[in-house]
Amino acid sequence: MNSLQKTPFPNRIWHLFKSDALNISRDPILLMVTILSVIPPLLFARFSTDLDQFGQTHFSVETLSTFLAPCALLLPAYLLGWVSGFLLLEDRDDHTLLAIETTSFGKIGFFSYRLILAAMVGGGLTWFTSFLIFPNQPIELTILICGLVGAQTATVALILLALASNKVEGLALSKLLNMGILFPIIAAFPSPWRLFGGVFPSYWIGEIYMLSTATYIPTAISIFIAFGVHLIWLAAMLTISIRRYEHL
Amino acid sequence: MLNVEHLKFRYAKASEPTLHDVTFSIDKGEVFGLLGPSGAGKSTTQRILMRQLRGYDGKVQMFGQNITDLDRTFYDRIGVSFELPALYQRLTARENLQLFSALYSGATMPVNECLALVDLEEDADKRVESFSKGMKMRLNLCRALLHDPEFLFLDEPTTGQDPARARITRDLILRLKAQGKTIFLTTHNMAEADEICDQVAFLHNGRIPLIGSPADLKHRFGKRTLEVTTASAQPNQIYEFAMQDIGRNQEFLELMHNDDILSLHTKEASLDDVFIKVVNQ
Repeated sequence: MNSLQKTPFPNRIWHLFKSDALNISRDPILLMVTILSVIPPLLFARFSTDLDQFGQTHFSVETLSTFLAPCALLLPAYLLGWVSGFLLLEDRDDHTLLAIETTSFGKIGFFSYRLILAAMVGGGLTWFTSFLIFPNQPIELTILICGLVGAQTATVALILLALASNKVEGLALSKLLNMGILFPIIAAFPSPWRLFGGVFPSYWIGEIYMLSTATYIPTAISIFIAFGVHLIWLAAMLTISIRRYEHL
Repeated sequence: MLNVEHLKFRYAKASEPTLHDVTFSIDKGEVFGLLGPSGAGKSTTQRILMRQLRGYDGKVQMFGQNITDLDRTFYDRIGVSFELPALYQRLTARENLQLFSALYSGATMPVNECLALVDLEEDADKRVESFSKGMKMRLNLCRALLHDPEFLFLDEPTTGQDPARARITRDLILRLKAQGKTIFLTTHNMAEADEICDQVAFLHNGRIPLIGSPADLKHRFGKRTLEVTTASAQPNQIYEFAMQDIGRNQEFLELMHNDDILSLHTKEASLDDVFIKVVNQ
């Protein structure tokens, strides 16, 4: 055992990423969901005019696509978050998390890597899709929205890990969790009561895009609160996840 | 290398402590076996030593320091092989080891070299989901050795392995000991503990009522007699002689001239006998 080799940190992260990519590519459902996460925003961008016509004809709503655009932006976050959360649940079910905790990287390091990766993929994807959905949006807002969608991706992953006991429960919970995709629509109601929706992280994208003409909070403050709510959820879910792991 | 003094632990919401007063020490290069029935507290002890459980009373020192004072590089110095395979099922053996190599800040062994230790080189590119339980356990052990740790925690390392493979694993453990590694073994397999441990401790109801070398314990709990079986009668005739002054025992000496001797056995206890006595006390 003399030929020990030290791997530089960036190469170590690359190995982890490669392993995750292989792991996903060998599970048909995880692979399908990952690929599908790209499709909804593309479809939305392609058919938004048709959607507006449909809204006008059937509901007398002139710009239906405007109300649904934030939901289209959030869909990849929910799908990619589910993939990331499901991988973490699998790590807990198959005891690999236990083995990871006995390495110098540790479970906190591994959670951080997985969540940052999920956030980067979710946010990165939004970078492209937001140009399709909101082509005239200022670049500063696009960057902030990418950050929010990234945070939303990590939040979905952690909610699954924190609240589901196993993969089966994770599947059931994800159905309930997916309702969050529709929460931005709450921001379309012209009433201050809608701000109660702000306890849910996904609500804030609707508020930022000002789905209602009645505004109660300036956009800059909305963005600030949105990041705060996401951080609170992330911290709470991380705490519950770690406690849950310690009681295994 | 490891020093545990008056270790006590109670799980939150439990009415009784899991560990009452556990004391033992392990020297460098020693194979230490922690034996005991299910629920005795073996896993709890191991989890405390691996810094997976906090809130204990007593003193636990490893590598000359309190384990609570050690940083995460502690895990570069220990290797852990769990009782259940902790592996990525959809990845191959090689991919699993590459992934785990990335989780250590220190240097790691080349994957092929590591797989050769447990005779899995030819299966390196097979997915773990196609492995038998024995193969998974060997890969589990391989993962624990990947970063060439000084101290190894091995939990039932030969589970699911056929006798020939289990022999290879036991030989590997003895080779690791010869290289100066310290090994903490938890097992239900008394024959295995007898063969590879320098010292064994019986953990029962959260206490260690008995600790010592396997040879010493077998003598302490056995009879100092010799059993001789001959084929001079049908069924085979069995004689038992006290070991005291056996060289001057005329009946024994005469029997030794008998061509029909089938077997000679000293009647020291097996570790199984010691285990049963400890558990029934």
